[in-house]
Amino acid sequence: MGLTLESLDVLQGEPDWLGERRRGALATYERLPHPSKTDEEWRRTDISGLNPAQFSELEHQDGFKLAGRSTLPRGVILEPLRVAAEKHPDLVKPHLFSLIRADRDRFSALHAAFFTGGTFLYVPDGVVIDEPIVGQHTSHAGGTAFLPHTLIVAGRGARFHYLDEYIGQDDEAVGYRSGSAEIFAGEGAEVAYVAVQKWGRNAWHFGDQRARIDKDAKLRLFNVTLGGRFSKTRVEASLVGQGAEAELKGLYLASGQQFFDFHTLQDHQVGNTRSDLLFKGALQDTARTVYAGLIRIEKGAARSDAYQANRNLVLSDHAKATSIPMLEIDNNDVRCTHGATVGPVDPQHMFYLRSRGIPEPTAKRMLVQGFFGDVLDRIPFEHARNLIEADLVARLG
Amino acid sequence: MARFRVASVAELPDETLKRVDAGSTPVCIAHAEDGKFYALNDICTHEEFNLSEGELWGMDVECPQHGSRFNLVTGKVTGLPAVIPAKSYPVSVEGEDIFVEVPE
Amino acid sequence: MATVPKVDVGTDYKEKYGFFVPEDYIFKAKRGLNPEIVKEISWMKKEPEWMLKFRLRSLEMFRKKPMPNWGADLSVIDFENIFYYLKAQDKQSTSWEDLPPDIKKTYDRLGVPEAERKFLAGVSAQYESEVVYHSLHEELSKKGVIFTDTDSALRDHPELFKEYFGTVIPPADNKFAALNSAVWSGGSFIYVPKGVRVDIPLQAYFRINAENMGQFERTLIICDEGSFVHYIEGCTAPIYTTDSLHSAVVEIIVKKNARCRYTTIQNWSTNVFNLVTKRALAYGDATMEWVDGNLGSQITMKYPSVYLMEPGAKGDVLSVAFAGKGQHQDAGGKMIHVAPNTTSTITSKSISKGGGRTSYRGHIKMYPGANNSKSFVKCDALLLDDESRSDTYPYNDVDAENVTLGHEATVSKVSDEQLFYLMSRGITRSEAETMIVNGFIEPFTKELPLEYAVELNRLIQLEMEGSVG
Repeated sequence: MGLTLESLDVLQGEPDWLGERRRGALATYERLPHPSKTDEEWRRTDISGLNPAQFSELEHQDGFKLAGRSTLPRGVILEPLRVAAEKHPDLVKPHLFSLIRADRDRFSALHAAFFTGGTFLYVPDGVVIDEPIVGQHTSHAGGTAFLPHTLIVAGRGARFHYLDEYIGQDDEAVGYRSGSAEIFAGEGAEVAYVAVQKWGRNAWHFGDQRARIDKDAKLRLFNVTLGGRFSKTRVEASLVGQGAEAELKGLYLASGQQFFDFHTLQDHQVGNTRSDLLFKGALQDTARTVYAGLIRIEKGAARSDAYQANRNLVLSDHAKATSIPMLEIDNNDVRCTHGATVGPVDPQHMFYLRSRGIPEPTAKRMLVQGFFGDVLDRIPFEHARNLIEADLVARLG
Repeated sequence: MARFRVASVAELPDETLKRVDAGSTPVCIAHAEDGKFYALNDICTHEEFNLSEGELWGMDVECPQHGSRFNLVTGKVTGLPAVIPAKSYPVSVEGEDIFVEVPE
Repeated sequence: MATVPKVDVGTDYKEKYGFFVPEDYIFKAKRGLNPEIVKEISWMKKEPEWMLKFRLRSLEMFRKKPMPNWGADLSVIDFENIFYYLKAQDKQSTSWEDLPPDIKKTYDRLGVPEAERKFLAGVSAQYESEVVYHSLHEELSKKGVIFTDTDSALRDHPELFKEYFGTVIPPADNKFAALNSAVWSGGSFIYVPKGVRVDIPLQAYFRINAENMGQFERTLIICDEGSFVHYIEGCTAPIYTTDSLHSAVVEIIVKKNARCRYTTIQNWSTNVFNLVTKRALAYGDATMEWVDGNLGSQITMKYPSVYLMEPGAKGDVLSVAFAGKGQHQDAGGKMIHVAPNTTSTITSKSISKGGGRTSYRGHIKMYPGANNSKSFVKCDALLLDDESRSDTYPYNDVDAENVTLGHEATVSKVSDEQLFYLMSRGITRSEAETMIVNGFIEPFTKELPLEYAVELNRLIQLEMEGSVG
């Protein structure tokens, strides 16, 4: 990214308020330091080889589509983000970058300054959409910067499915990728959100998925991470109304020299809320993964129920897995459990399959699929399930 | 093995350390108390801080962050908390030039 | 401190441990920390030149290192307001009768001589900066066991001392290890020769008496091949309105087939900052066990660790923390697996009450080559009211093949059903809560010698009564 105000001119045609925000975010970017190894969040996450300024060309797209053929119910707004910013500032302005704040760190600031389009979805109160909505973000060129943003606002009792697919056709050159989503689930809404990250294998990826869940609303979020040379993803849900519920599931398959970093947050701000998190990963070759997750139960959040688990299957001698499941509990009337495991393929299972004449690579693949079984069952809608299973089969060979 | 000229003798006064890059390999060069030059991989095997920012302590280099020590000649750990030896590389001096050999 | 299992409700910390006696010291260094104080300490102790150099360099490291940016809030510590060296009497005694009356009275009130008579093989008593009393059963010294204070060890066993001192925890390890290395004084030095088993425990008792005192003992334990020792430490201080600092370094080497158990009952008054670095090396088929009870202090930050250096080494941490009003116990353990076929467990039990905060912080690391190793961590937290807080921060790094690592944690409260059941039997609410807490920490108390288990249960009862601090 040419990190100057001039380079923002490619984004002309946006309303003034958005231009102002971008300039503000750029100033924040310039003010914030590059994270270092002595910052706790970056201790195991090496970005010393990254200089975002080297990616001067921005790829800019608006792409999204409905998975089926139906037209959208009345009142639903599904527009490119920049169009929506112009046409519906009353809806976009108060929400955009209010959950994923530009001043969180350098990469959030960069995203807010240079986001290259993306999608805005507004579903009014009581509206149900049956067909999944698919946002496809395809990078066509290597060496570029591509930063799509998704903003989802669900009215009271709204129900729908949304899939963000990040696709790279640029396996060779090193690029900068930043795909993020902000989700507002209004009272009683039911939102299913799936993100599948399959950028090229040399990309740097920084992604934030952050949701605010109101009274009696329910979010089912599923994150799949497969691509990139370096991928850092934060998945965060704030439960802000009684009866709110978040199911956060993740699946990652790291091979070759890939490095994946996940930060998750289950933020119980009020009582009678529920969250359930499971992230499962398999590591091959010299891949390295870091999972760090936090359940935070605030003082008044009595009768909260939170679960968090991270499970890693290590398939090679040289892979490295780090797992840091954390709890901060400020109320005693809660149910809170968490766990982490790191382990190899069960030798007994392997022995059993081999004794049946199944060759080792096939047996290994079967065991990986078996390992992912319980999390795959939690993919919230069929369209996404078919896609993810196909991606997984293709990658496991 | 690949051989790289990494520094001149003048750049390393007695009992000092310097970070150099031999191709893509980060190297810590030491001008030790015995007058000779030694080379270790610069990345501490404990928490990946740079040894070249640490201190010489006899024939050991001490990591600046947590005090792990490595023998300059062999790379062996001579003080915790590191437990994995540092890689050591052959050094040669020709005239004013210091060369290091690292695996390709 | 070991007494009959009598329930002393109404006795409180202040009476039992929180008293102080007048200072009548032969030497008291000025407040504050600078090279002159360090030189003065070294000069008073008539140390060799290398130790003075070691101290001065450590002081420099302490200055350079930032305060930890995690864990408890330490910004309130005023390093310039602390007395770094206080010497209460001229020489060390081997008989309680030889101690100055005030000091003797102190230990009598704490029950140390009585415990020694009953069930200890050796006792070391540190008062402020120096060890004032020392004893070891004669048959143990005949077998070659060394149990002395660390200053005497530097004088009397210079070679053994220099071979191991500072090799497990270098001064640069962390800010407080650097501070201790600069101003250390006292502590225990233990050497157990090959094949010798010390079947009854050795004990050290650390007492702070003066206000704004800094106690920096340094303990070094070497268990030679096939040996065994159980070392117990206890600590208390008077209650003052301003802060004191306790910052120890404990280094342990457990050689092949040896076993070392290190038990701590930390019961500092709530004006003490307790910032301690404890680390052990366990070699082939050796076992290191940390039994770590943290009841007192304002802030404790302590994570006993074991480096499992050779195949078959085993490490255990059993940790209990109790945080009452105004207290933050940030405790846990670390297991560093270096060699194949090594195993470790960490069991943590924490209790928070009256707005107290307990944090479990741990690290499991499996280095490449630590194949077929296993580690399991279990953390249970009990929150006794809705003002209190519990945190869990477990760091797990696996870089080896075919290893198994598991971590589990739960947070719970005293259940209404349990309380209702006990109260329906005529037990008061506070007694019922005490029973439930004692049950909760039973895995810990059952690892203690009986006398200590009784004492601990009594302390828990005092804490539950809210009469402490």
